[in-house]
Order: sequence, then structure tokens, then C-alpha cells
Amino acid sequence: MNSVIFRTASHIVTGLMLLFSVYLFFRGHNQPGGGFIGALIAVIAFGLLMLSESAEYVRAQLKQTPLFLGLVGILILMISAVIPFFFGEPLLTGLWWKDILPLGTPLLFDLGVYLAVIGGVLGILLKVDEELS
Amino acid sequence: MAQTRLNLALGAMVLLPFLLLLWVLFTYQPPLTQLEWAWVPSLDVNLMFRLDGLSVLFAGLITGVGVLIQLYALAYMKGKPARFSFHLLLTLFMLSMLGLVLADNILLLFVFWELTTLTSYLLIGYNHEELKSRKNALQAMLVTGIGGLTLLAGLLMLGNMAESYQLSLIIERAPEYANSPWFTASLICVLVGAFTKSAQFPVHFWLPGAMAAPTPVSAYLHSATMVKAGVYLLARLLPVYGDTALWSWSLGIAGATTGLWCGLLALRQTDLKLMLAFSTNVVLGKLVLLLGIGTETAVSAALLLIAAHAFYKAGLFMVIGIVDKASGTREYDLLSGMRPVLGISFVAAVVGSASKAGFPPTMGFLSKEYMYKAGTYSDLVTTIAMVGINVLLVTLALVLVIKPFLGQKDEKSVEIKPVEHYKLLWIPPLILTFMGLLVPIALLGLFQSAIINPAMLVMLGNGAPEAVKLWSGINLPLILSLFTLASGVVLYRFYPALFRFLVRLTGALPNGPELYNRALNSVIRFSNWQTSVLQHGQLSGYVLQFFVVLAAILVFGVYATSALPVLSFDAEFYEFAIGVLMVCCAAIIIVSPSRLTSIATLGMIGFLTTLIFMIYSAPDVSKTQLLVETLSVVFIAIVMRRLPLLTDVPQNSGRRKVVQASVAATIGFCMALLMLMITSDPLDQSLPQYFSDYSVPFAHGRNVVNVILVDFRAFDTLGEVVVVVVAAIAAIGVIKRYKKGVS
Repeated sequence: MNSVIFRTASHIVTGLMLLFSVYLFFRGHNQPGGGFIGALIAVIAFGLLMLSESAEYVRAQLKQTPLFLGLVGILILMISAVIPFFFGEPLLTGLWWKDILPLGTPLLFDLGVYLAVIGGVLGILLKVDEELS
Repeated sequence: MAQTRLNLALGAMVLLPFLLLLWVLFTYQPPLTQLEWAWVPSLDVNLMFRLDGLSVLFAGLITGVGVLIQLYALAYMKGKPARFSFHLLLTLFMLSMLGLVLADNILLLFVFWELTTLTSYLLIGYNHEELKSRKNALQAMLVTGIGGLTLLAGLLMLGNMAESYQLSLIIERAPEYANSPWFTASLICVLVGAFTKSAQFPVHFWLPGAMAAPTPVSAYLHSATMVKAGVYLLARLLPVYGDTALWSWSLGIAGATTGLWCGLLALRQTDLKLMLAFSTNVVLGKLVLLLGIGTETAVSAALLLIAAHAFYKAGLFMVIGIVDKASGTREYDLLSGMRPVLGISFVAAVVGSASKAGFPPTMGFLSKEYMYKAGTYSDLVTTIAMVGINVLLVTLALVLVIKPFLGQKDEKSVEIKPVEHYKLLWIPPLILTFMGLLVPIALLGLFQSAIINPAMLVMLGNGAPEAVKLWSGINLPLILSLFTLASGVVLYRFYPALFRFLVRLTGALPNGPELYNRALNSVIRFSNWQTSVLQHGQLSGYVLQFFVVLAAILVFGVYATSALPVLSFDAEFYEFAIGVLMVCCAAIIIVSPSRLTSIATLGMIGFLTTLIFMIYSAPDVSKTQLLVETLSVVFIAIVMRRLPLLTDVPQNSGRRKVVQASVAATIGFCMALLMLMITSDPLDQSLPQYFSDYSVPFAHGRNVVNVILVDFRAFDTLGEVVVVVVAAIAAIGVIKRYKKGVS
């Protein structure tokens, strides 16, 4: 796609969408949003960039391969799942630490979902585009 | 720098089993120590561990031999690729095995059981560039994996009968459910699991096959630890099943057959490592036989034999590893007169073989004495089988030592390089084999009070059995023992003739690996056939198959639902408008000649659905729907660039169109009918009520959908997310392959 307008705008829109995706991720526990929805928005943002530039360009911007992100996400999921063991609680118990900010293992869990979904879906998207173009 | 880091990591993996050994020794308070952490309390599955005589014997062997194996592997694997992952796999295996013997919950035990199967698969296939390694690793995993699944069935039945999955309770309640109709079935399943894991006849062949692994693995997994998991399980469940006739008959027959047949097969081998592998089968047979007898003396003999075998067999395997390193071969014919070069290994080999053959005063002698004692208390046939098995072992021990180390060199003998300047190669086998001398001479009292007595307490309910003594006077077992040694020596005199006879004999009989291959091939043929029927490579055919099945399920659903559909037109005008729009869109998709129009219209249906979710105030669902819809349009748009125009491809035949239309109509009609039926009843509100009531107090979140995803049903999410990533890996792999196939 060679439209200058589309190209220029897509960079700005991708940035805004990524910001929005992080915003949705953080507000997810109390308002509509969350890791899964945030991740899909991030993938669409990268997809936009992929259509205006190229899959290689997106890969270069990401620095890591999507699958690596996905596996890091799974690792974070597993860590948040076993943290309760160290406090004598069963697997996947939500633990909270609300002294300063409302932090808790569910947030970590959601971060894992966020990264894993970005990694998985973006991985397929980039691959399909590269193989078919 | 990288080298230092590697050394540090390897050092840590040597230290870990040592620390675990210390932990076991200091935590254990005879006769029983129990530990517990919560895991899945709602299912009554917790991380429960027990240290009693039986588990401490195994745990001590696993960690103690583990330290020595890790040390030995440091020297043995020097310069080999992927050393770090090798040691890591060994460590993972050790932890799984430790979990297996310490678990006090049978489901937990099963999890660790399967983990040992998996890690053992990876270790056997460590030289994964060789076809044989991969094949034998798969063979070991399939055989033990099938056994593992059967075992799971048996354990579930056992747990259901005892109404608990805790080992202690299962044993305690054994008399209550002995008459249950499930009892025999569960026994058979457990036996299949234990026999496959401990390589009993007729599935003994996977164990020699597993010798494709590097020697440290064979010494650790396939002699000292993993193959004894089946024996451990049998010993654990002896108090539950021990009194049944099926138990003593099947264990007796399986054990004796394995012992005798594998003893003969061992003498037929030309590879020293395979001889040892088959002789491990023999010892496993002996152990099963002893547990089948199940008396106090038999159990003492089994416990002694487990320790004795771990000491001498792991040591002998390591010696064979040294021989392999020094000469580059393990063939009996090519090895002669190695003693001048491999002096220390010779000492270890002699001490180990003495224990294997049961020369006094080794641990092997002690266990053999008690074995004969148990046999003479039992019956004549068992005793004869025992003597036969032990005679074969004596001959085998002589075969292993005399010619390779002391024989005259001839023109076939290969040259032996000195390798004993690597201290870590010979220290571990020397320590292990000398343990077989040290324990009966100096530490027998400790062994008795820390292992045998507490083990008796849990296995037979008798905490103070007769003390084990090295010398108990001249009696029938001692005479049998001397007779065994003498016959073994005599049999060794005729070894060449015996070897030729055995080669002729085994050539005529069907063998295990062949039967296994035939079974595997027939499975492959079957799956080829069903693949060619179902996977014909036509996309339209696949889609049709899928929707036909869906239609069938829906028709059945309508048929099976008793509620009557209720039609109601109670809706706002804009809801009608959305509905009408969606129907129009669907019609456009069908008739449109342009693919782009179809896709855009399909997207429109998705967005209209989103609107419906919005109207019914489900913002999260509608948002997800919106995003997924957008992504699918992006995906389809990318793929579409490669497809030819719709007007360029031939149209479906009329008949085909009728079939597809009728399937589509069936699905649509049944779906609509089902929805009407379901909504005619008021929905069960208890779950939504529960989640909205407890979302804030329990999970500190006001967005119920998100709270369900990350907290209430987090385990489901965990699985789903893993599926997303695994699917991505698979998809990426498939796309790559497709491209390669085309170019």
C-alpha cells in the first residue's frame, strides 16, 4: 500500500492503539477490558503497521520474535500460578497486596494472558503475511 | 566466561542431589515422617509426602546414586554436545523419581510416574541424531506409557473403593473393600502398570532397547532407579493386594519367567552393556518373585536386593562406560586382557561382580541367602526357579570379568587406551561397588533399624521382624548358595557351547521387538487408511464434513430436548431492524460474485452481532467480538490476495449446491429451534448471582467477566492461553512446511 497518508497516519494510530491497549489491560479488573481484549487491540495495531509498512518492519520494531513474547507470557502465567504455594495456599489463589496500589497475582496472571495472546496471534498473522506475499 | 558459567551450573546440579540426600536423612524420623502442602484441596489432591522405611530406602538410593552419577557424567560427557541439558534432564528425572517414591497420594504418585516416563524418553533419545536412539526412546515411552494409562485406571478404581487417594488411608481401609467387585479389576490394572515399568516378560524388551542412552543414563535410570518404580509400587500395595491368590500367582509366574528367560538372553548377548541390561531384567524378575511370596523373609530379601542391585549394577554400568571410553567398543569378542591398563576399573568390576554373583560377604550374598530362606519356607518350584536364576547370574558375572579383564590378548583384541587419569570416571563406581561390601559388614544394624524395620511396619504391619544377619550358621540356604556358585562356575566352563545353543534357540523364537514393531506398523497402517478416507486434501470436503457432523449433533439436540419452543415477538423495533439487516447480509454473501463484497458483508454480520451484545449490556463480550471480527477480516483479506477471482473458478455443480444448502438449512433451523427451546425456560441464575455477589469481596474486582477469567476460573484460562500459543507454534510450522513442499 503506497498511500503516503495511510502510511504516516498508521504510525500515529498504531501508537495510540498500543497506548489504548495498555490502558484497557490495566483497567480490566474493574471496568470493561482486560488482558485478552488489550492483547487483541495490540495485535490489530501491529497488523495495521504490517499492512502499511511490512511484516519485516514490524518484526524489527518488536525486537523479539512473537513466539518468544508468547512463551514469556506462559512463563509469567506459570509463575503467578505457583506464587501462592510459597504462602501455603493452593495453586492459582489470588493474592493481593494493596498497601500502596491494588496489586495482586491476578494482575500478573492477566499480564501473562496479554503477552501470550499477543505472541500467539501476532505470530500467526506475521507468518501468514510473509508466506503469502 | 561461558565455560565458568557452565561449570557453575553443572556444579549446582551435582550439589542438588547431595543436599536432597542430607534433607532426606535429617527429616526422616523412623518409622514415619509425613509432610503436606495444599495443592488442589477441593479435589483432595495435596502435595503429601511420606518418609518411611520403603520410601527412604528408595530416596536414599535415588539421591545418593544421583550424586555419583552426576559426578561420573561430568567426566563421561566431557566434550559432548549439549552437556548442560543432559545434566538438567538427569536432575529433572531425579526430582520426578524422588517425588514418585515419596508421594503419599496415589494421584500425585501417578503424576510423578508419568514425569519419569517423559524424562526417561528424553534421556534415552539424547543422541537424537541417530535413528536407533529415537526409535528405542519411543519404544520405551510407548510401552511404559500404555502401562501408565492402565495404572491410572487401576489407581482410580482403588481410590474410589477406598474413598480416598491417600496411600496411608488406602492401606488402612484395605480389609473393608477387599470384596468390592472392582477389586480384581484394579489389581490387574495396577499389575499391568508395574510390570511394564519394571520390564517384566513379555514386555521386557524395552529395557535392553533403552541401552541406546549414554551410559550414565543406563546406570541411573535403567538399573538403580526408574525400572524399580514398578517394584516400588508393588511393594507399596503389598498390604492391599498381598493376600489374594491372583497376586501371588501372577507375580510368581511373571517374576520367575522374566528371571530365567532374560538370564538366558543375557548370556546370548555379545555387547557387554546389553548383558548388563538383560541381567537387570533378571533382578527385576527376582524382586517381583519375592514380592509375590510376600512373607517377612521374602520382603527382607527384596529390600536387601534393591540396595545390593543399585550398588553393584550402577557400578558395573559405569565400568562398562569406562571400557567403552578406553577401547571404543563393548563387544565381548574384541575385549581381552584389559587389567594392566584399567587396574582400578578391574577392582570395581571384581567387587561388583562378586556382589552380583553373591559371593560372601557381599550384599548380594546376603540378599541371596534371604531369598533362598524365603524360597525354602515357600515351595519347591519357587526354590528351583530361584536357584536357576542365580546360577545364570553367577555365570554372567564370570563372563563379564574373566575374559575381558584377564583373558589372553589375541589378534581380534582392540587396543586399550589409558583413561583412568580422569578421576571422576573411576571414583563413583569404586564407591558404589564398595558400598556393597561396607553395608553388610559394618552398617547392617543401621540398615535394619532405619530401613527394614520401618518398611516391615508399613508393608506387613510388623515393626520388629527377625534381625538380618550375615552369618546364620550352616543351613539349607547356605548349602543352596554354595551349590549355586559351584553350578555357575561349571556352567561358565561350557559358556561357548551354551552361547551357540542360545543363538540357535532365540533365532527360532519370535522376539519382543519384532512383535512390538508389527503392532506398531499395524497401527500406522490403520491410521494411514483412516487418513486417506477422511483427509483427502479438499478444503470444501473438510468444511462439508465438519458441518454435516455439526448438523447431526444439532438434530440430535433438538430430538433430545423436551422443552417446547415458545415464539415471542416482544422486542424493540431496532432489534428487528438489526435482525432484518443480518438476514439481508447473509443473502448478499451467497449471491455476491465478488469475494471482497462477501468478506466485507461477513464482517458486517459480525459487527451487527456486536451491536446485539451491546444492547443486552455485555460490553466485554461485544468488545471481544468486535476485535475478533476485525482480526478475521484482516486475516481473510491477506489470504484473499492470493486467491483467484470468484468469476474465474468453475462453479459448484447443482447437486453439490443442493447438498450444501440443505446442510446449512438444517443447521440454521435446528439452531434457531434450540435457542427458542432453551429460552422458553427461565435461565438458572445461581451462577451469575454467585459471581456478581463474590467478585468484589473475594477477588477485589468489579468487572465480573475479567474476574472470572483471571481468578475464579483461572485454571481454564491458563489452559486456553497455552493452547493459543501452541496453536500458533503449530500454525507457523505448517505454513513453513507448505512453502517448502511447493517450491
